[in-house]
Amino acid sequence: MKLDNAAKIYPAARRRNWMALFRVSATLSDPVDPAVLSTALSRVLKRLPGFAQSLKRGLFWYYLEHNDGLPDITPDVANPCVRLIPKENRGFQFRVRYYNRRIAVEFFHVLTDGTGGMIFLKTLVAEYLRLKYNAGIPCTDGILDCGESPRPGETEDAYLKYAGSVTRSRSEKNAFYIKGTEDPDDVHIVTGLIPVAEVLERAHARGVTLTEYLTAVLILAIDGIQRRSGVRRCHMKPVKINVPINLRRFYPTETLRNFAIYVNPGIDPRLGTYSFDEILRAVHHHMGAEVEEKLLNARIATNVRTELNPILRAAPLFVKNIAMKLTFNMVGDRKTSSSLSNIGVVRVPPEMEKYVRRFDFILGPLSRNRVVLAALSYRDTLVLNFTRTIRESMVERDFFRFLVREGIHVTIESNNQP
Amino acid sequence: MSYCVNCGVELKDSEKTCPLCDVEVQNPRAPWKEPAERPYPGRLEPVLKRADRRFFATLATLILCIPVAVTLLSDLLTDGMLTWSGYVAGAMALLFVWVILPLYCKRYYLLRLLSIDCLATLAYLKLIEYASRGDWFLPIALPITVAVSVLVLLCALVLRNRKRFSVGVRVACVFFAAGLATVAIDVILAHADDGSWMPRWSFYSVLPCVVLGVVAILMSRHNRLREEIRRRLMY
Repeated sequence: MKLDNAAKIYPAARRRNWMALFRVSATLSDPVDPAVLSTALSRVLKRLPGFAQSLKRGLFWYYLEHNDGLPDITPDVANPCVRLIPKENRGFQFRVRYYNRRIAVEFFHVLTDGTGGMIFLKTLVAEYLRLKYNAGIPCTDGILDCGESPRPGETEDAYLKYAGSVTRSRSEKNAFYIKGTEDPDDVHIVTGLIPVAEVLERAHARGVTLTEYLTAVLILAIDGIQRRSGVRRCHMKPVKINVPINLRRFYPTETLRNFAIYVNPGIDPRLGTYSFDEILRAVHHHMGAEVEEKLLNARIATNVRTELNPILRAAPLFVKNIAMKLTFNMVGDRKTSSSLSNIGVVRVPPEMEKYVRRFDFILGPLSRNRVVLAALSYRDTLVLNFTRTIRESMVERDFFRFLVREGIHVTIESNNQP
Repeated sequence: MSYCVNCGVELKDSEKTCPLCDVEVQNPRAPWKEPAERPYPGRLEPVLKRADRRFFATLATLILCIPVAVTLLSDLLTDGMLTWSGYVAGAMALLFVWVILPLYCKRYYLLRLLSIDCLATLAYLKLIEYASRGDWFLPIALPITVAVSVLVLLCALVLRNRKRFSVGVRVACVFFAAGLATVAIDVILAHADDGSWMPRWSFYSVLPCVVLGVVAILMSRHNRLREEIRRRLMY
């Protein structure tokens, strides 16, 4: 199977100690039984063969090859999303972990995006609950029926299918980079649990969406860090946040592979000090202008045209790897200061809801950006997971303190060990 | 239920200190105790450690010692004195200073390391002159080495300053430095030959260097062209 358009860069950009990973997890009401989970996983992989893949090197491109095996279910660790070594994982590009009542799946981005990953997790958890408790969980709300055959549309490259002919420039200025004491050996996770109604009320009162509201708070926190760093105003860099947009909202596809594109709302602090409402307006209008089917399509077309470039296609893989690695290092996440990925509302059927207490979404550390944020809401709680690879927690601190000042109740937990 | 006195957030029972500000939880009614279940286990996924550069440097030094020892020994055993093996030993010492010595430093100290490189090169050239009974060190080797070292230093200073100089300026700087180096070599050789300070052949190399440098600067200033090249090449 060919890699999809967005996945093509990830194998080349991998480093000895880093790869683009993300994690989705579900916390159940009872401790997890790994043996039952393994049986459920084997059934799910038969239904979703797009995930049972090993990454291989071809002459011109990397490609995915079906893997008939079954990955081991391993106990969870304190530092999630650390580089996955396929040899230690029977060649699979994802791993399943359990800890007490939690089932977690970490995916290499070459397989899927957050939406696809969440469908995989929900299907896995539903199958586990059916096996363990004989629960009658209907196949609705993104849960797939493991008795069905796989549908071809689930593994299609929707970028290629929907790309138009008009392209758009990707040129952008480099953004402010959050510095701190490097801590590459450790991944710090800080989770904020917030009543979703309270945040929605604040966001709707200002006429913006939840993602726009959270993006603005994140920009405000990072802007404050740049201002306190003592850099002269004329030398300040833009503060921009990378926000993935789920393209399934715009195109009728059932693909479970990558199908998202990014917009980078932000502010230029050289122009003056922005109030929160000004940042909110900037983000709202940027998202309003950019998140539009035709403009997004032009950006898909730009990426697809690069993939179809005859010179690039003719180059052998090792040459492509060098070019893609250089490009990733030069562009990559230099154009944004952080990332905010919001999966949105996670819905499950009521028959399943009574077994699942919580869902989490965690982004793995990015190549360069040291602090990233992932969000989802389940039932009445918004779960915000910050991932950080520096020791200083100033971004999360300023972010959550702002929410507290707004009168929102925030509960915090972390992966810190006492 | 405890709250951080600094941040105002509620902290889960698992948190002994606030993860946001590191302030210890103060709740006289409910002092902190290990909860039955922590959000994450204690086990850490092993992370591949970075290769120890100093260990690698020591290993490379030991490997470098092998040809030195072999050549010194075979030279000594053939006629009972050291003659040609000095060149090999000197070359290995130069390689050590250029490549292995920086690996022992925590960061690349540009001025110090380049000065040491320049001095080591001069010492090796002096050794060759002494061994071959030449008379070219002062008029040729010394000025060329110093001139090239100064140009390399200037180039490195520009290349390092990414914030101040754009890619085009940095590429142009390399071309200009290469052009200047050929002029310097030309002038030094001419002066050593007949005492004149007039360059003879360097014009042919300076011209393309200057043209390429100017093209690099122009290209970096032309946004659309730059974007087009980037797009054609990859992204």
